[in-house]
Amino acid sequence: MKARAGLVRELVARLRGWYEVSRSAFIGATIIVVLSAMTATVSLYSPYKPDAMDFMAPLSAPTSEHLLGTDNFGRDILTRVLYGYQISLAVALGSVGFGLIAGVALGLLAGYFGGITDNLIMRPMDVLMAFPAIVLVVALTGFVGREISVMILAVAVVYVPIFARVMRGSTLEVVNELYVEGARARGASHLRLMLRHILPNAIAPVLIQASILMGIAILLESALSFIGLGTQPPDPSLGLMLSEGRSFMQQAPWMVMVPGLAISIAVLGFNLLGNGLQDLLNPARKGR
Amino acid sequence: MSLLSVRNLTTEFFSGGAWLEAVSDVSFDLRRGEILGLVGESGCGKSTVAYSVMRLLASNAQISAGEVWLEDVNLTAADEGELQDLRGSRLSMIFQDPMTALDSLFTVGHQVIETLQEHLDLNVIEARERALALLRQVGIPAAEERLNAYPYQFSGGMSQRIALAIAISCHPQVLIADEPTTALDVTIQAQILHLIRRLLVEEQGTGVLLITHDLGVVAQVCDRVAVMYAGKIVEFGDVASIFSNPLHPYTQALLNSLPSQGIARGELENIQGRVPSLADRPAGCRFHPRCSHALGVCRQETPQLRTTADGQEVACVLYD
Amino acid sequence: MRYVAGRLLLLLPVLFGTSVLIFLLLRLIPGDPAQVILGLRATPERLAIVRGELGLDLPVHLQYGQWLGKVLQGDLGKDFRSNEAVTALLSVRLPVTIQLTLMSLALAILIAVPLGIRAATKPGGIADRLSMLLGLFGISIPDFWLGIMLILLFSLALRMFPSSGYVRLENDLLGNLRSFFLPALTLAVGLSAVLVRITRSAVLEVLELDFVKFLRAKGLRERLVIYQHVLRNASIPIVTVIGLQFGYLLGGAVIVEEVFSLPGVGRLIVSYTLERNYPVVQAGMLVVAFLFIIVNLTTDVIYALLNPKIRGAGT
Repeated sequence: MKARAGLVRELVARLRGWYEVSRSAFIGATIIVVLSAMTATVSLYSPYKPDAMDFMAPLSAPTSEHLLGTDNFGRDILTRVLYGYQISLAVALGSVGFGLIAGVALGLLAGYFGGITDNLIMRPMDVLMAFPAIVLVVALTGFVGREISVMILAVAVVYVPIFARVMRGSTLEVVNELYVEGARARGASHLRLMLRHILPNAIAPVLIQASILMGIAILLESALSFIGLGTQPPDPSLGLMLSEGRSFMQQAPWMVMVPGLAISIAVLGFNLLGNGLQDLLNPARKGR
Repeated sequence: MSLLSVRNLTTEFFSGGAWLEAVSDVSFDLRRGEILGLVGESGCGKSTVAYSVMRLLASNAQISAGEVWLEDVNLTAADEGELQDLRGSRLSMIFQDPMTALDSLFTVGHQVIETLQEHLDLNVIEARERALALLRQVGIPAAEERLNAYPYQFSGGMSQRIALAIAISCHPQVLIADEPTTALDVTIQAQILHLIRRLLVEEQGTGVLLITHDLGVVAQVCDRVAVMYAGKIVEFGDVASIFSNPLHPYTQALLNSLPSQGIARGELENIQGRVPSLADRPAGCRFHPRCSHALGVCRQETPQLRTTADGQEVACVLYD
Repeated sequence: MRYVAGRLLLLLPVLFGTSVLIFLLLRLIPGDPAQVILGLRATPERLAIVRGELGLDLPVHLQYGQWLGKVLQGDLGKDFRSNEAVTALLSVRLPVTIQLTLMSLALAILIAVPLGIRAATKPGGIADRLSMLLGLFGISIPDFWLGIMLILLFSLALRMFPSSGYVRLENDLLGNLRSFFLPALTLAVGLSAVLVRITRSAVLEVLELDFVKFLRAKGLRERLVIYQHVLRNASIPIVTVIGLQFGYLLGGAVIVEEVFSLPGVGRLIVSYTLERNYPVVQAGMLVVAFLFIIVNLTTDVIYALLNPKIRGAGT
């Protein structure tokens, strides 16, 4: 009993410590952790299946039974939102994961070798950046296919040049540092220099960018699904729910309000985390 | 007759969760037609005195005690509107780095003319004529063309002349010059100082407060000098008497460091230690940890400025 | 002028790469593009015609050459279902998108720049807090949802603006502006979130520069100090960000046109993609990329106008 009280006190103290370090990052991380936990375990505690229809209660306003109401098929909106997050987070994690790995590799090579290598890598990146993200993603999913894997790859294609640019920039900043020069003088190979000495010191801005891009991926997935090019019915995607709700927005405004709020909260979480990390990395620019 | 009178000025900065005194209980008078040097190492508070007088302190700084009078106007009590009227007309200032003092996106002419139009009732043509005359006065060649040039097209010395032209455009009674020649090389330095002396002090009777860390500059143009250390004036008097007979150990050290290089810059090699930071100033005399003559009493008692028999003022127990 | 020509030259490789990318999209389609475009019930004759038009029987680099040749002559291909030239389609759609993006750009500047200036000059004040909130929520709220909420409030509840539909400018100016107001506002919120941040930080940075001290020391009234000198100096990063964010506006237009049923290029891309009418989509993307590049150039020109140093170097 005593030990547990001590543990709780220590946990509270540690959480408070993190909160003090960056309020923004703390709140953002909390939102993300809570949402992820809720959506990962939703099948364990939700009394409803995401596609279970209740024809007795279509378009029900929020009640104690359906906390956030039901849609036109009587499906429980809260349940569908929590399942919808699974798709959002899968697309976000997948696209940021692929984009980050490819972008970091390309940016590192471009920044480390410079010259022709730099141009060979970065000029095609400029081309990819000449399109608004959503246009590129719409085209890729539209031309190639509407599976979730295509969606992930399409968003990753948008992200590669962004990560590459950030990584290239921060590589250039550290490549001439003393510790890199020192390792070079000791005869370290290119690969070793890049992976052991540059990467760990240049990755921080990339990780901040990753947090913000997680949020943007959630926005992109929901936008795609909203216009009919992403997740297909009857899967519960937040953007799709929103688009379905448009036909009923006068009788059942919760059908459009809830999924939109759900998207906003998740994106807000990643933006807060990203901003907080940015402040921590660069305290002089705090609040800028 | 005193133009500018600084009385018991104390200015604080908010830093690290507390208000720290950057300037403590500083008093002096600036007379008509004199150049008063305010000298000390960087961090001693001399620029803070200047910004306090101009009432242009940063948002984390405030005047916590004392008054500043420009003849009959209490500057410390004036509101923003009155101050704006006074600045540039009766009270002017020029800065250390002339290359950054001008707005790089506007022509030099625009920046002179806007000052004239702000303070004087002139139409565009009159203001332009006046601006032209000012540029000629401060020695800008081909002034007519240069009026339409941008600051990046000027050298440092020329930029400082432009800044000076702007500062004197409305015949100020007081000019505050904050390290006006530090960024310039020695020959240009002399030209600028000479210009200030001739155009302002001799022709118009302006009082100039010249802030510098450079005793060479003081010797060149100042009439009187106040030596500051760690936020306080430690010695005050005529340039001639202070150079021939420095009383305060700090002044002596400053002067001793002079002949070796001609100019004292930054740290003083023959005084141990550094200027204490605002947060950990020693009790008693603020100079005592670095002073070779320090006595036990220096640790506890803060010495006050006292006038000696030959009219010099000094704050040191050795002369009590 | 030489400066602008130099920037143009730099854009050429990007333009080339962009065209290759757009061209290749059609080759990404799994299966026979002609079949996909025309649908399963197409006759073999029609299929053969479309294959010929697209040059599908040629090697890829020749296909590209043929396609690019046509594009450069202003032939953006045709809608194989209606047999209409794509240029005709686009000439109707483009003005809608341009008006939408320009109106939202204007709105965003009107919202964000004064707010950002105020936030920077009065730190900790109401404007400062408002700008922080806008900067955070503006980029977190999906624009299609914001659009729907605005429709719920202003069209359905308050009946102040139409919820959808497009009134042509030449028919009814006021009606046209009313039909564009909500979509433009929707788009403007996201942009102003980014803009208010950059304005605030740019102004804060300029305020710390020496010349501002000198302007104040010479007694210039604060209004002139801020709105003439500080703003002009801060406008260089602000213009840069506006240029960079214009792509965001074009992208947002895709979604917002859909929400408000505005017949612009964005909606065209979406609906023709859904119908798998790919040649039209390609043309739409070309137009978007072209607009993007024009904006980049315009940004560079404004840059030069703002900065005498660049202007001086160019002549």
